[in-house]
Amino acid sequence: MVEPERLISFRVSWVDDNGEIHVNRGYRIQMNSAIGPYKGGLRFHPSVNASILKFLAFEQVFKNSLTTLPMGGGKGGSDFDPKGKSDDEVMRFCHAFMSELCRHIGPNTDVPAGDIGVGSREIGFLFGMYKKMRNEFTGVLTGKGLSWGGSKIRPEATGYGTVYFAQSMLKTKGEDFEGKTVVISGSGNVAQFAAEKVLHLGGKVVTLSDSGGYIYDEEGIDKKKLAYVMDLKNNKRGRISEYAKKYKSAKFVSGGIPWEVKCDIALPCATQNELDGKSAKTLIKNKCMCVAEGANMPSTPEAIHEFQKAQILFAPGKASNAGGVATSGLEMSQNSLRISWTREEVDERLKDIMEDIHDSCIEYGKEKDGYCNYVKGANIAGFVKVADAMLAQGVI
Amino acid sequence: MDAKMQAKIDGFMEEVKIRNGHEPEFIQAVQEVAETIIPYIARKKYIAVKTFCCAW
Repeated sequence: MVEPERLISFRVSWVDDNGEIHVNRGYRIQMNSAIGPYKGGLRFHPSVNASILKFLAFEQVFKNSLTTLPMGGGKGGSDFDPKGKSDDEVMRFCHAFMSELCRHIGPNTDVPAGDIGVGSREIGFLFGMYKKMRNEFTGVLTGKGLSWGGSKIRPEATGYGTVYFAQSMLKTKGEDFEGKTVVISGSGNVAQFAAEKVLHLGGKVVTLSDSGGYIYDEEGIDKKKLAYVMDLKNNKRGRISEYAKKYKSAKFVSGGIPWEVKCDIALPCATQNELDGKSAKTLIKNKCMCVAEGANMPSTPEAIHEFQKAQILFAPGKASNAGGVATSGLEMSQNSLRISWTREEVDERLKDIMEDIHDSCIEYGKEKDGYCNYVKGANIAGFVKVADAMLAQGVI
Repeated sequence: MDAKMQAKIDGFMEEVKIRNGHEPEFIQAVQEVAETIIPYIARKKYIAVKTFCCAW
């Protein structure tokens, strides 16, 4: 289970707007297919290497198993940096990337999705090239546009799912989001929709961040302000610092991380290892009662240790952010059935899946003293299903 | 956690490190899972101990 079934590395050559040739490295880690086709996102970021993708693919195996849907685990991407590239350059890169990847994936083999640096624009370019090379229109990628095979709620799913999961956690303590102060890191897809759902449930979101620092808005980021952030990040591709220029109630803390802000609930939605032991201690001191990871492995082992020692509610990403891949699984189902479910249908299924994952965590993670160790619960629940399938299929 | 269990986990992680020594994030992810799964396998006398520990 710790050795990938297949690790593919390949050259991606492309030409920029000035006619210069660039060479990047592309990867696909096909980690485990015991319970379904490999499934996991593609990440385009300069930090991408085999170690990062293997950790993500490894976690994906457990996460996908937890969703109750038939999906194996995989991950891929490239060290290509989409930041500052023109649309044409991104398109040429995506096409070059898929011209090799297409021979390794397929709707019954391996179904990639987006991740950091791969959004609907990139999925479009990747899908287009796959369709051209293979001459077939299939559900080979998820996160597709609504008019060409995508699922409703897919863009919102990871963020919504994280909040649904946190809601289930709070319920075990007789609490909910109503009136709670929530600190969110990141300002991408996951953070934006987590914020949207928190607002919907009556919580108050006071921070968002990016690699430059974080903004703290004491009055709360309301719907209108969130719409501004979405436009800023998704269309203008600007920096979060611009938020503090637009809204006087906010301040921008350059280079800072939002964990120093007093809150009831923290949702780390940026990237791996963004929340260390020291930050965890600060959160606990500030009476934070619940931490649910929207990103993958944002808390360091020291941070997790602190949360568990203080016995506050803590959910690892492989449980709390599984809503994204779960909805990808629902997109695959819709593609296979050649139908499209309504927004309400998908949302309802997502909610049910997140509740099921929460129940599994409780089943396997509840300690003798009544404290639920969600890390243990998620790992064991995910493991059991995959291990049983591997044993049933014999030594292969 | 008792010393015997810790030794089991450490032994497993040693093998993982030998094969993936240059991959810190991967080792971190495996460590976190191993710490919860290996005691579970041992407690349940789960046959899958071989799947996790030996299926390289």
